[in-house]
Parts: sequence; structure tokens; C-alpha cells
Amino acid sequence: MKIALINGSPKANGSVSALILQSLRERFPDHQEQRDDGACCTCSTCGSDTSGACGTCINTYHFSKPQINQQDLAELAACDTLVFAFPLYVDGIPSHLLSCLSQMEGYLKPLASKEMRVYAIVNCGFYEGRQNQHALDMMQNWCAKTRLIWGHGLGIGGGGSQAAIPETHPLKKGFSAAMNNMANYISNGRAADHAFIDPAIPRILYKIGGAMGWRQQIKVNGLKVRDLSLRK
Amino acid sequence: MKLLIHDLEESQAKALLPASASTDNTIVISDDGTIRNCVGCFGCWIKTPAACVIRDNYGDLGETLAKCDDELVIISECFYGGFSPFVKNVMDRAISYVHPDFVIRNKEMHHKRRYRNHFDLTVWFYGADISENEKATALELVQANADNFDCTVRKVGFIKDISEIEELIK
Ligand SMILES: Cc1cc2nc3c(=O)[nH]c(=O)nc-3n(C[C@H](O)[C@H](O)[C@H](O)COP(=O)(O)O)c2cc1C
Repeated sequence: MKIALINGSPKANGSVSALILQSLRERFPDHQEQRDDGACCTCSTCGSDTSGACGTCINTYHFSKPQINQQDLAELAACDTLVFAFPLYVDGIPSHLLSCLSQMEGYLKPLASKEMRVYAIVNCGFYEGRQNQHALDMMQNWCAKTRLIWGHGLGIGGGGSQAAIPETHPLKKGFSAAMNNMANYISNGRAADHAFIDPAIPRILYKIGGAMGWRQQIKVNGLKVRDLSLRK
Repeated sequence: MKLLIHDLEESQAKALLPASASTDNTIVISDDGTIRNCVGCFGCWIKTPAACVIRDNYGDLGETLAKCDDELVIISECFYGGFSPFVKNVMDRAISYVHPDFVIRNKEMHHKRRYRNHFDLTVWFYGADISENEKATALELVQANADNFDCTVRKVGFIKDISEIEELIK
């Protein structure tokens, strides 16, 4: 099974989506990256085929611009499973990623015989994981338009705070369980209803933490706390 | 002040939108082909508060939203139950309209207001084959947007052909 992990955050570095995909990636320890020349990665998950044709590999892509290049499009078209991880922007899909999805719709739809499954993990700044529902629904609608098979969507509230916790920490339990489920569904090509998780800390603490964070950051930038409320 | 955000080409907009769409009391935001996408830096909250750090023609959208104290009308092709890439780009680039601090509104977390203006939201989605699922998503999405803008939904409509808009927004 050939899997593409697609980071849809526009941030070049340090995105929560990258951490989420890294955490998912660790749940497929036997799968290797395919070499650039398409040759076998000798991960042996498929047995002894070293032709590179079995495609039992897992590759990572980063869509940070509103276009996808032709090589990436061709590689993605050869995958069995696409896994998107992206931030919630204004209750929906970030605009640059929306452009990429539209481009993929045009490219993939004519290849109608292709059985391709799609999974998505959306993380947001607000506490409630459920606020990611509309973005997941849009991904599901995209699948229907593009004639791909929808698998499972996971909505993560307070994404930054959850992704930053070390994997074995007790506060990471809900996150880890949701990621285990996601990895299982992907491995078995299964479908399931959207799942949503909130941070393991109470909402009031998360809210205060947020306020403190913005105050710290604006001061680091040499501005005053009151500048947070500036009006133009 | 009214605000109109649309993704129509210039010739279409000229033909279909009423002349009042570009008078003194309506600001129109349309696609001049140069908009850049949000890079998620939060600079509009903590580096140059209330303005986007990207200084293209769309760098002051938060301030523009703040001038709207009547109706915000959005005309957008429907993409998967949401807005088109251009309209979505405008929304993404406009988050300085709100303050970074959190508040609890309707039992959910949202942002505090930065400005005091209030507007009603009307959205026209167009597209030849908008599915029932897409319509259901779009209705929920617009309500969620309204919760975040702290505004009221006046109307959400779906039209098959953009030419129908002429009758609808006279
Ligand atoms: C333009 C913009 C719009 C956003 N809109 C929302 C939103 O509607 N709801 C929310 O909970 N978080 C929102 N966020 C916060 C991001 O979803 C959050 O910071 C996320 O963790 C970023 O993920 P990333 O690091 O993978 O890009 C928004 C952020 C930006 C920059």
C-alpha cells in the first residue's frame, strides 16, 4: 500500500500539522520512504519484491502554495491512500489548500478506475475539536466530487497544545488513542465517522493560557500588551 | 457602509451587479489576480496588529470589515460546500477583524471582538452541480462564520447560474 502524507499548513516550518503527521508516521515503523528515483526502499513490508513496483511505502508532501507541481500530482495519483493534515482557517480549508484540492480534482477525476482512500486530520486553535467538523465535511464532499473513497476524519481542538506534549505523557492519552485509530483505519482501508478530541486540560485553563501566550509574544516583538487591541 | 465580496470576473460583475454596488456606501472586494495567501504567521495580531504583514492589495481586510455596519454580501462559487479559493483567501486574510483573546459565546470558544460594528451576513453560492451534502455543509459553515464574526445570518441562497444574481441582489 502506497501512502501519501500531505501537510496542508502554509507554514514552512514548525506547523502543528507537521507534528501530527510525524506522530502518525511513527505508527507505520515498517514503511519506508520511496527513493527519489522510484526504486525500492527495501522496507520488506511486501515480502521480497525489490522492483519498487509493490509501492509499499509512505511519502510526505507539503502543500504550502496554491499550486501542486506536475511531478507531485503524478506521484499522488499513484497512491492508494492520501492522508491530509491541515489547520482550520475561518471554519474551513485554508485557501491555498483549497486551490490544490481543486487542481487534484481536475487531475484525478478522469482516472476514474483508481481506488483511492482519503483520510484527514484537521487541527484548530479553539478548544473544541468539533469546530473542525465543517472542514472535514468539505473534505468528504471533495472526495465525492473527485470520485475517491472517504475514510475517516479527525478533528483536534487546541491542536498546538496537544501536539506539543510528549507522546508518553498522560495528557496525551486522548490524542494517542485517536491517532492509533486513524492508523488502524488507514492500514485496513476502513471507514468510520468523524472523531473529535479536545485538550486534556480544562477549557478555562486553556483560555487563560492563550491570553498569556499572546501577551508574551507581542512583548517579544517589542510592542505593548495594549497593542493587541489596536484599531485601524 | 455595506460590503460586497465576490469572485466574479470584471466583465461578469459589470453586467450582473447593480450600479449601486460601487457607490459611496458600498465597498467592493473582488479578484484582481494578485492576492497572496495567508501564511499563518499571526503577524496581524502580534507584529502589526490589525493589519496583515503581507502588503499586497489585500493587506487591510480586517479594517475593511470593521467599516461594515450594515450588510456583508458574499457571492461565491460553491467549492465542496464552502467558498471559492478567492473568497476564502479574503476571509483568511481578514482575521485581524477579531482580537486574539478567546471568549465563550454560544457555549463555544470564539475570539473577542476588536471592533464595535455589527453587520448582517448574506451569502449567495452559485454552481451548476451543488450537491445536497454540499448545501448542508454550506449552511452550517455560514452559521459558524457568523458565530465567529459575531454577526447575524440574514440569508444563504444557492443558484445554479450566476446570471440569476442580477434579479436577486437588486
Ligand atoms: C487565517 C487563520 C484562520 C484561523 N481560523 C481558525 C478558526 O476558524 N478556528 C480555530 O479554532 N482556529 C483557527 N485558526 C488557528 C489555527 O487553526 C491553529 O493555529 C492551528 O494550530 C495551526 O495549525 P498549523 O500549525 O498546522 O498551521 C486560524 C488561524 C489562521 C492563521
